[in-house]
Amino acid sequence: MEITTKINGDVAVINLEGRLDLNSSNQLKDASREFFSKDNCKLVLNMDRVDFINSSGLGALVSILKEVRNHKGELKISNLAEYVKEIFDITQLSSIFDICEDESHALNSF
Amino acid sequence: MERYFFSFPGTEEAFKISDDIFSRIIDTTDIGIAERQRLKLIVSELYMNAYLHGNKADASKSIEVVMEFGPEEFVAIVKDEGAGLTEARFKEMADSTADLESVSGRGIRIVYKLSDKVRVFKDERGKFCVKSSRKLGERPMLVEK
Repeated sequence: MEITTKINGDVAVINLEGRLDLNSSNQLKDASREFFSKDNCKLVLNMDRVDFINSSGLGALVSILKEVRNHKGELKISNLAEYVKEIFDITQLSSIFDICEDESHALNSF
Repeated sequence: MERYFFSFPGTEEAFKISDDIFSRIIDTTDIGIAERQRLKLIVSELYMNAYLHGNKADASKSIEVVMEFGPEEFVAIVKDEGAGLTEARFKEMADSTADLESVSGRGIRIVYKLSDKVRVFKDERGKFCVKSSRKLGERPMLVEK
């Protein structure tokens, strides 16, 4: 998985590309730790280029969400492909994540 | 019908490359991209379940995978050497949404939701088998609130 980050004001935007699975979930958690370990952090995970996610990848996202909450921060997920959004829906994770249509909506929603 | 059969050692190395092998085969079909992702996910979850929960990551145990691409249906069968579960218990795990914020426990639910039919059984050699069937073709996205 390719992970790139950029800072937009006080928001960290993490762009993910490739497969989010058991092999890459630790990579994602490591890459985002420096952002979610700060109090009141604001984080956007842009998943525009994620072409595959499985239950391990979903578990990694839930783990990050919990860390963000522990630090009284906010996490947004944006740019989900339709079939990736479907996986969020059937696992009912759509109800616990703040899912935004695209990155600009996510940035404006903090 | 195209049929593929694999026997993987129960090693971490095999686990790490298995998804890539399944993906490459599924991507050779003329099935639409969204549907291909669903098929990849079914096989991925079944393999991960066999590796982690069936064989309990025991490298001495093997995992067998069959993928069948028919004109109207996709079938995946994944066999492990674990003790296995009853169909009722397997279904119960799929239906469970007790802890939405758990970091694990979604794989079987995903398989059930993406499959038209799921069967669990022991084969003639005593291997625990999970068989998923999914009809191919245009179908609406699944939405569950």
